[in-house]
Amino acid sequence: MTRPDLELELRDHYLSFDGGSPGAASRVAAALDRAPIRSRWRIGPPVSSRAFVAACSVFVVVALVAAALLLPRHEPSAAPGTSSIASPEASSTPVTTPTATPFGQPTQATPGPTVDAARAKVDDAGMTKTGVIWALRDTALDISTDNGRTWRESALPPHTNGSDDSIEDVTVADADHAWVAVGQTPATARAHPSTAVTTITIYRTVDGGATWQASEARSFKGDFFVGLQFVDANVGFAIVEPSASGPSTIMRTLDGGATWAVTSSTASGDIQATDANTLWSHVGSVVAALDGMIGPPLLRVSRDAGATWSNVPLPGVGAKVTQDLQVLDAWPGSVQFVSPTDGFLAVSEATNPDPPECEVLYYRTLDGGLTWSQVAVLPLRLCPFMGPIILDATHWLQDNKPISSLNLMATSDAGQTWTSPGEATAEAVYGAWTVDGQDWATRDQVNPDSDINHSYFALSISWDGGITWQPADFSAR
Amino acid sequence: MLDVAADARDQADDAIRSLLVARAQEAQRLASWILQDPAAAEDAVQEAALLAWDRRRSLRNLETADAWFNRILVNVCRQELRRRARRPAVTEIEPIADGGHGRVPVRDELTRAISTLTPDEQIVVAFRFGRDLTIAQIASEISMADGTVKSRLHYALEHLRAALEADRRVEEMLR
Repeated sequence: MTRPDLELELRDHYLSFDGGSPGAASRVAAALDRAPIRSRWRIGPPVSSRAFVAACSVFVVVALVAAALLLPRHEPSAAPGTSSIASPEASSTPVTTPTATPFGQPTQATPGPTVDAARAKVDDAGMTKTGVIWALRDTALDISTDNGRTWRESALPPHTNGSDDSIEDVTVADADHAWVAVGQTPATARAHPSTAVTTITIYRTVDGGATWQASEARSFKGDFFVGLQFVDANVGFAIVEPSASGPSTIMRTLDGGATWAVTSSTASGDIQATDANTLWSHVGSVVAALDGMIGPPLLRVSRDAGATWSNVPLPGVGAKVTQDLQVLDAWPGSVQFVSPTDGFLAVSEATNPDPPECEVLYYRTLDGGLTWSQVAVLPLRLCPFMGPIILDATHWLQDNKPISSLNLMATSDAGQTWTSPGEATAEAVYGAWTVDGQDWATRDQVNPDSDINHSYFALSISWDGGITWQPADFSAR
Repeated sequence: MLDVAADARDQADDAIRSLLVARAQEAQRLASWILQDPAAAEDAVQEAALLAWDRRRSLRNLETADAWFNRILVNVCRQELRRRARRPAVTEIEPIADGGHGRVPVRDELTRAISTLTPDEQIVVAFRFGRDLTIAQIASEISMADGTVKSRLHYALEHLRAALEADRRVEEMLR
């Protein structure tokens, strides 16, 4: 169902809140009168706030890692062999703790260099299928081919970032091939985003950022978001999604970004490409109640680059009454193939609001996505932000604790048993990648000194299977 | 010398205190939009004012005090939304007595649908449709990249449509 009037309803809805009561000022004044003056004047040179942030963050990381290693694990009243992180009663599949860590025995923790955490700040980051880690930072694209131990900095294509043009999205296929979408909107038009025209130019490099070539520019009207996805060095998609409502425009390139053609202008949902013709689309949130699913279909597929779409049945989804049901975002996408026919995806079901309970349902296809069957269930207290990282048919990683600190879980038997190898500090994890069982990277939202104005994205690296973590050191060459 | 410095600091304190009091009413409106609850908004504004007072030394330029306090307030609201997410309220959908039509008022529908969004999505929606700010203005207010604001807004509206559609169908089934 479409609700073209949703934005009007929202405006009316917010107008109906008369939150500005005249008593607010007197209440704040009274509160301030009672407030103790906790910060006394400091005599002497001011401490650099950045150094203070770094010192605090290093301390927090060290303290938490030490606590995780030194404190005994508390296992509350769970049945022997079950993990305390799960709600065994919430699922028919109990989570058992294996006796060994099958992801390769974690070796002695190898502490990384002492790095200013604030310098690990990134605007975006990711990892390619070939294990290249990349990070977008201010005016540069940093690429590492040795799992974050050393970095090579490349200049970005020309843009001013802020006045008339800005970087819309970046993606990297390997150490040589990368693409950057730059949007150009006249500063005078920005005050009217719904009618402003933005010109998108996609730049490509085939030499690791030494040189950039621009594709033909295309213009779009209104407020939108551009996403780049490349399935290999030649085949890629640029998806132009309106920031409010309306269908997306899908453009495809088959020659590495030199030329682009529109393949669809009617798609909706979060779109992911898995080959030159196959696109997957999932909606954000669906409710299941009484006799089945409510709302748009959870997952759809297109086999003709977005021209036509069909629903994908997921057996068992919606069997329970749920508050929230969704296909989980994951890296490199919700649908992950380990071979042309063998693929996985995960659905989260918030089954109980209070106390919160969630089940992550893992699905597998063996026929290229034509049919899917449920292969594992993971009960959690809270639904995770991200779906699993599928390393191969049996080795997966799954993030847990979506609100507080990052807690990656690992399975080596296709979700039948899970371990929690380590913990890192983060407000929220927005992506996690791994090259093998030992070298992992995450993009986290961190808040190192709990100062409310210092939250940012940072790239964290672990070289010991997730036991210890350190901020990425982009100065290491 | 120290007396001169202390006088300057006292003046700065007075200015910040005056600003916090003067901004309280508008702050409560913003917090109400984000939290969808005037009582919770009152608490948030007081907490934000106390935090701002405690951290007033970090404010280097009084001219940026409005934006500085807004960010503090938004972060307090975000933390409250996260606390709610940890213990979400049971949202029972009950038809109201309105001649048997079973319509849930639009405001309740929207309040419930907005509460299903992530905290950051709720904040962006409140700024966009409550304060009627542009993408660039929201990005500036909450120190977020333009693209991030755009995508959060896009996904928030998708989620809202799905939640409202779900509500509508539940209502139909309950009739």
